[in-house]
Amino acid sequence: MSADWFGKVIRMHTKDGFRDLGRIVHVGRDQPYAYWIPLPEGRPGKPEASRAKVFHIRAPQRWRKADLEATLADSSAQYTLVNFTEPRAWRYTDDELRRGHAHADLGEKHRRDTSGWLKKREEQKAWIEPITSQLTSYELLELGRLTEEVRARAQTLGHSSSTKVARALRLHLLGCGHPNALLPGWGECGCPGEEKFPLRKCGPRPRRVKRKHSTQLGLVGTKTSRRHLVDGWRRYKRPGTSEYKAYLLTCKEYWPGSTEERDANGKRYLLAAPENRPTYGEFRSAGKRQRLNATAANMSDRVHKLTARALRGKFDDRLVALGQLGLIDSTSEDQTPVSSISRLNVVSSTWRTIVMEGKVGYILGLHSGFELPSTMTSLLAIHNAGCDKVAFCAEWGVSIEKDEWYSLTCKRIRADHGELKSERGITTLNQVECTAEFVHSYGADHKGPVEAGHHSMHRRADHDAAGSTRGQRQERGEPRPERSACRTHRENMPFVIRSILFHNNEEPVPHLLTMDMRRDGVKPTRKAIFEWYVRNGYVASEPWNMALLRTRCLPRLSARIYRDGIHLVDPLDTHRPARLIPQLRYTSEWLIRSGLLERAGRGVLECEVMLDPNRLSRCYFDHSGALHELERRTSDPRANEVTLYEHLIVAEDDRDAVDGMKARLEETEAGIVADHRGVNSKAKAAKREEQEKAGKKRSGSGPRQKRANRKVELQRSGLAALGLDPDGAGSKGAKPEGPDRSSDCGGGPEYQADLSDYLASQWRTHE
Amino acid sequence: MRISERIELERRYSKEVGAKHVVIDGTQFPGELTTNLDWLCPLRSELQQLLCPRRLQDYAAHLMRHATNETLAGAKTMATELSGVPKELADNYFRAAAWLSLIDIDLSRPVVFSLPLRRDFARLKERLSKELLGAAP
Repeated sequence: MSADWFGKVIRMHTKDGFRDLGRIVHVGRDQPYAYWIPLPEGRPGKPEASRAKVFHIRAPQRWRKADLEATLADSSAQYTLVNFTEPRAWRYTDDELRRGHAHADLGEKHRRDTSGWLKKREEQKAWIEPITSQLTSYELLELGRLTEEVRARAQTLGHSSSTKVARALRLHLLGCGHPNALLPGWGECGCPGEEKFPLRKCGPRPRRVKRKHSTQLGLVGTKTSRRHLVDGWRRYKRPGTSEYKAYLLTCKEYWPGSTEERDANGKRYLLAAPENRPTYGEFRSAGKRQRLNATAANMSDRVHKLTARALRGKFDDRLVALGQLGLIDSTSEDQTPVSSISRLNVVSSTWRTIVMEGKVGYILGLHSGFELPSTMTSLLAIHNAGCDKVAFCAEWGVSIEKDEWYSLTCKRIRADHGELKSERGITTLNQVECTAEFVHSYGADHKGPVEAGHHSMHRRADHDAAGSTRGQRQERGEPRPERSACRTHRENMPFVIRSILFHNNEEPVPHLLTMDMRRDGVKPTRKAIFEWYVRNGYVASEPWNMALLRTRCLPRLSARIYRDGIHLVDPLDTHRPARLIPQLRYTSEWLIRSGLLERAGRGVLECEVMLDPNRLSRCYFDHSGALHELERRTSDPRANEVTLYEHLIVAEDDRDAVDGMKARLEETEAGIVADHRGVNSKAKAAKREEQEKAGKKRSGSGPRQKRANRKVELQRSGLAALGLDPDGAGSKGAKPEGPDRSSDCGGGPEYQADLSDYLASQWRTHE
Repeated sequence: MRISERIELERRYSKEVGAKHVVIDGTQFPGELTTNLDWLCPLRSELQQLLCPRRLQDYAAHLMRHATNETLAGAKTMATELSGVPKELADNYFRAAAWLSLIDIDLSRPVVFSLPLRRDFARLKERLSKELLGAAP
């Protein structure tokens, strides 16, 4: 056991803590002793030690090994052996000592003259070199040659006493042969963590002294003055208050103007004279010494701690397989889209939500639309991550193969402390066996790749589009992006998809390659790496119930079932019953056969459908335990190219247009009604007059009479069409060919019937 | 603060009743173990609907038989073929078998399919049981 004692420190435990007695510098081979040298007093815990005590190294002492072993073995004993902690300066190389700073200091400034330390070390080394090069601690301590050798060397050097050589040799022994043990250790003066208080004013002379306007150098810092400065810093440095203002307020409180001194107006000075109060630099230094940070004060301590905290590692340090963790985040697109209906109508910026696989950074899902980030958009993006991408891209006019964009639903989804954190979001993810994780505020490093990836996506997908904001505010003199905006969201989407395909399939990512991948010759792209992981089984379990995911992820809209299909209710209409969205009618063969449409004929049925706001072509209807896909029925071939948001805008515009026409319509209808009433009254008067002329009431309203009258009316209209006078008062055109029996019949009903038949036959012949 | 108070109360209570008191804060478990468990943990629906218990037992037995001579990837392939597991579910069976301890695999180290199976011989469980419960399982 005693073999391990060399170099250890003997620690004595007391009620108040502990005290390090000394260091074992030799364990006897022939002698039953362990030799130790007491540590110089004034080491940590002894700030009051005199300078002489700090300098003095006492002679080696011995402790019987058996006693020491027994003392250490006794559990109630007060002594233990601990490892020696080297002073920081001992780790410096000679070059670092010459330069005055070490790489290990990490730029920390000090005013120590370490090159002077080096000289001192070399001087002491030269004194004891002949002894240490020939004799070891065995000869010096165990054989007792220490005193004799020291005296001889001192004489050789011509020293008046052997004190210097003895101290150097003891220091060498205390360092157990460490090359830097002979460094003077001036950096160890005082105690670690203890502030030093100068006895006179340090630093360069103030300008007023240099210019001989004053002889006073300034206030010498004391413990009290520094405490006042720190108190003032803590009290007055607040967000919105600069350090300088805090300094002035501190001076006003702790170093106010003297009551005797007055200005020209007899008013007392607020602050003491500059030479009687601390400087602004001292105020800042006092704050820094207590680790008080102006930035932290401005940001609030909590926020500063969160933003400036040490990172425990990268977020993917604990990921070994694909699908273990998905990252989701939303960003506004740097585009200024215009409406699909008219390019003159500028629409507010669209939002993009991305689901990224954590291990490889492969983008799995996308949702882009006019909807602001919400639980719905996040769920739609998660849904998209598990969907077939070939169909999805085809809808936006991009043709891809299946292996160009893989689908995967991650087991855990890590999101911001925002949109997905709602009861609906958490419940939905739990139901599809996904775990939701939320990153605390200012914790963007927990989902670094997706946060950092936004910029490159914006650069590729958005910044070259006409009307792009380029992710920056409008500068002075720059035209507004709205003026040059001319592209619709549908026109922008293919570029978003292409930039994702570039990110997934082409962007080189050699840092993601493992040794096994390199052995297998995997290309350094996310696609190739993704495929390798899948091929080799490094995949986590994937939620596989996509129908369930769809039912939970897609937003639910109220709808009504009519006999011709399902009509969607306008979600923006607050009236009850809410109006329907025009031209959004969905049906399917299943719906027709289900009998629901017949039931709807007897009374409208209220229901809910699930609709992707970006895909109006189909919706999903959950009925009788299954999810049914319904297709939109419309005669407009381009009706499905708009999003729900745009469709609602169009419907609103249509309603506005109708509102503008309403006054004119009412005017016209009122005119018609009024004219009817005028004509009615005239006709009634004429009828009364005719009845009065006839003398008796005619029975002209029976069925037979009505038919006869109809014939007469037909003949009359026929004659009028031919330009003849139906009343026989005179022809306005050529007479018709055929028998002229008008003189026989005198224009009676029989004649008119014959004429009608004749005309009909003529028209048929002509046709 | 309240958590510290509660832990202290629990410690005192445990001392009074003579029970072992251990504060489990995650440091007792190797980081690689939690990572692997996170990866291998099967979904509830997988265990209930997708995987056949008897086939899972067969799969694990075949895998352990071939794991001594082959790499883990090779043993997986052999076990999949011999136990009649559909190829598309091979990874699901492996994860479930490892999670349910049907395979003797050391989860305190990375699972590398290109190397032979690193066996644990229940050492990890034993150590954790001793540390946390004070007795071997």
